Amino acid sequence: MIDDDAGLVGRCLEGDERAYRLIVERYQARVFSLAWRMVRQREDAEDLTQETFVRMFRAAARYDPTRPFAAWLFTIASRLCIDHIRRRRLPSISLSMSEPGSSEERQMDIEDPGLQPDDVTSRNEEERRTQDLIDSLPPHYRIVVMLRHQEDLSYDEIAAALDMPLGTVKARIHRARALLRGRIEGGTP
Amino acid sequence: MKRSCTESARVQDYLDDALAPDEIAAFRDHLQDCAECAAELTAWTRVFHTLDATPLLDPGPSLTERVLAVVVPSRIRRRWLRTVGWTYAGSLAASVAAAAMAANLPGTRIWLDTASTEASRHAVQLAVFVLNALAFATLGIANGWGALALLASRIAPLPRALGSLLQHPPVEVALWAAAVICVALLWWLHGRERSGSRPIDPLGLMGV
Repeated sequence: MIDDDAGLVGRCLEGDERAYRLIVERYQARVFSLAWRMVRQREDAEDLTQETFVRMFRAAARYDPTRPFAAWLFTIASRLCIDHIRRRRLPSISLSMSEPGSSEERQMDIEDPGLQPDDVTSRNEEERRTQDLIDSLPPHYRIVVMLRHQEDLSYDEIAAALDMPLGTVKARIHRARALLRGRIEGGTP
Repeated sequence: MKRSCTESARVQDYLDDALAPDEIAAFRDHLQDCAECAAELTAWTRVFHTLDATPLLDPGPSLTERVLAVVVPSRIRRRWLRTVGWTYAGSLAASVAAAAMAANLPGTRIWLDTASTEASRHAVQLAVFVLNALAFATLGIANGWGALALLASRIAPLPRALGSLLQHPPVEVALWAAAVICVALLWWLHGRERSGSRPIDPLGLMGV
């Protein structure tokens, strides 16, 4: 029985229902977490998670097994989240190639007011604090930080997923960490 | 905070494993001597730990089932069949109900009676026509086979009679003699016609 990601995708193409379940169970929490942190609405996050898997399975025949499955899946998830934010006019997310530190970047560092998640239950104080810190980041920083730290994607994979230059990805991640450090230390970055 | 050491900018790359092996070794050596970079490393390590500790959110098994319902082909087929089945059943029920209601209307009943009478008449006519056609075809076929059989039965005695006649020696001799005489006569007539032949007068033949 092949249970690695590429093997599971192959079994899905053969119609193995158990393989579908294994992939969904293996990745749904990670996809949902990314979606939830990006849109902060449970219903929307569930819809995005579902749509991510639908698109992934629809494109499964084109999956290149030499490429990391997670990177491929989160490419789909990230783009869906970004599209959703753009459509719903949620706090704007920029995929422009502006240099970090430019006026555009500084403008987007402003923390938006609607940061309280409405569906978080019984977490300890440390987790809540961490989550609030992540949520406090603007979306265009949040997504790169999530992909780097939660999904452990490389800079190259994030650049490919978000269709951005490598330098921009790196600059945004550094900038996001600087913002978080400032908030952790109680000062401004 | 203004940082004086330019190497401090590499702390994030160091924690990200984004430095080459020789750069890592050089940066570790630098950390031994630079208090500012060591402090930076501590501060950034805390940030990295915080980010790495971001909890995963579990949406629960209901989302799993919801996703599987729309991605597993067999479940999609089952759902599609169920939808088609219910749609068909609903349409059928609605049609039957509508027909029953319409049938109870006075005008509809008269129309139905007329239509059913006409339909019955046409059905009977059609059935009679089909039966006639079938009977005619059957008779025709049977008749054809019967005529052939009759012809065969009529012809059969003739060869038998000729055969029995030829079995008598005098008849056989007489037939042979007749045959020889016929052949000789034909040969003689053929010779005379060739020696005394003349052109045929077409006008005389036309009888003018």
